[in-house]
Amino acid sequence: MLQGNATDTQITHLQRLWLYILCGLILIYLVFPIFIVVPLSFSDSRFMRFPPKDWSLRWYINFLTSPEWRAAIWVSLRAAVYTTLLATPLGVAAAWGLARSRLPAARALVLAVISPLIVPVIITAIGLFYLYARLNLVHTMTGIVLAHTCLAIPFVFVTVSSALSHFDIGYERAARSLGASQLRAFMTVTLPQISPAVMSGALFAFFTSLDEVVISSIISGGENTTLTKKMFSGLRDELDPTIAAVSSFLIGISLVILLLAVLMSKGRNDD
Amino acid sequence: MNGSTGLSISGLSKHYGSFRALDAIDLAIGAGEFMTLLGPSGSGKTTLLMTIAGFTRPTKGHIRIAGRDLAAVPPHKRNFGMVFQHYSLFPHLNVAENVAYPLRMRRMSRTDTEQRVAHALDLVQLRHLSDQRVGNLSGGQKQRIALARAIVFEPDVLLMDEPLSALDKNLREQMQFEIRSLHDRLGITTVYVTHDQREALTMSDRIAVINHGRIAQLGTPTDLYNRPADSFVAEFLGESTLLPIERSGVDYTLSGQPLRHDHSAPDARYLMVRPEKLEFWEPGLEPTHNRFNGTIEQKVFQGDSLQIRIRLASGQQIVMRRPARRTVLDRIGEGGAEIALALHSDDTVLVPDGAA
Repeated sequence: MLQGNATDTQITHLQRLWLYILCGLILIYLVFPIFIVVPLSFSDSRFMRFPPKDWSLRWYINFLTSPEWRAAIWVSLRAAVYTTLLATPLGVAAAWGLARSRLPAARALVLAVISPLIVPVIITAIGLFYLYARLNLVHTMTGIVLAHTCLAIPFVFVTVSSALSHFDIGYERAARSLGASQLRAFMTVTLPQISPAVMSGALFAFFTSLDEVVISSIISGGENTTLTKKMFSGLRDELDPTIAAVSSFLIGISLVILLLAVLMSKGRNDD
Repeated sequence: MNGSTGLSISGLSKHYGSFRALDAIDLAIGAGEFMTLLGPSGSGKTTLLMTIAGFTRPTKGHIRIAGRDLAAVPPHKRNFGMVFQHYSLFPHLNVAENVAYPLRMRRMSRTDTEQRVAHALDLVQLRHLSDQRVGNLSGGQKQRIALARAIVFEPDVLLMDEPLSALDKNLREQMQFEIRSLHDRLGITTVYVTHDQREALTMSDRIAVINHGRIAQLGTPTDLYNRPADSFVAEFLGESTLLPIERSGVDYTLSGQPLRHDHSAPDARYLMVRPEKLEFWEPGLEPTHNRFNGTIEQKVFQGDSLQIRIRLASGQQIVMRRPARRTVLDRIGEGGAEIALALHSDDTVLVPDGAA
């Protein structure tokens, strides 16, 4: 295959070998942590030692039977679901509105919407902490979800905006001439056509919340302690392989959800 | 289906800053009439259509249907069918679902919907494509489906925005006749926008020529072609040569030669000559025809006809068109040959200056 038949003007795979090697190295670099963390989680040892000598599921059992860890999973999953449910419609609405807008201020508004991507999260976190302290939102699910929504909206906004930039406004106009109100035109004509972008925006929102460390470690706590905060403090205080088990668990959830998304979009394309 | 309701437009203006896209338009469209808005790009014809549809809000003026003012009625409640230049068929729906869309928006029952969709698809002769995805259709099929979708809910008025401009010439001509015959069968009031003057002449009951946001002339195709209101309409609609004329007393002259003409023409500035109205001079035409002498400059063979460019004795150039028939070819000399032309006084049209 490396010497496949190439015409004079084509570049052979052999000539591109260095590109394949470079890509391979980058891919290994990106997934390397997983190759450390996942084996560690199956270790029998009390300490994080690599490579593990003996294998066991004890850290998974510890993680799944500990009420504290279980509460943290539950908090994180709930926060992620609520964040997705809130950030997706808001991000889609913002993208739609700004894509249609002829306001001179539209560009400035785009910057405002994506500013959470630009402002360092620690700054947002500290600001939110003082704000939440006044509003009694520290250590509440509402507080976590609002903060995560703020971080997640730009992801939904960017993916949906890019889909809308290729979307012909004529479709909605046609729908309205045929008797659909503005909202129904959007729901019945635009949304079905941009749904892949909305889906991936929603996935981004979900993982943004699930993975989020900085804000969570400052404003979550008490009975609303997220998994990430618990892991972070676990790293500091205990340093046992439970954290590796939790990490592997999170990686597992991510993989399952991504696979489902891929399968679903496949199903749609085959349709 | 009977969507026979007239539309009345009065004092309609649309200003964008100091630019007047529409400038006090008055237009009464009769019930069941096929009205074409014809004009060059940027003339305001599409703005007028979009204002009728409700997508553009007028600065001033009224649009009324059956006496009811449409100012506060949003597009989806106007009950106007619309066909767009780029079809705008919904790609996520198949053909039948596209046609059923307006009925779905009106929450029509399933059996009624099926019946009406089948009927509308029959009207455009594409029922066999019901289950096709719209991406697989040809341009002509797409536009027929778009037409079926626009009439399936029995709209009061059908609006069409350059619906044939994306099609190639032969298909375009075929669709012109199809749309016109569909209009005649349904009797639906139709407002049709185009920049193609031949299309306008072929299809319309009446044509409103739009220029600079105003109606330059309103009339039947024959009126507009034979009696253009000014030099703009004369040049925009059909081929013509405009020759500057002078006023002498109560009459007009072309380079000193008095012009015999049948129609009064106050403030005329030009003689409009349609190439096909010019004939070869024959003895005995004096009482009814004007005579022009000149020399042949150029002959262009155009298949069905021969275009002949003639330099008049006065120095002006004039274009004549004759069928490319043996008898005609035999009569026309080579370049440089002298020729005498005749123009009937009824075809001698004198027009005032119209802002181009």
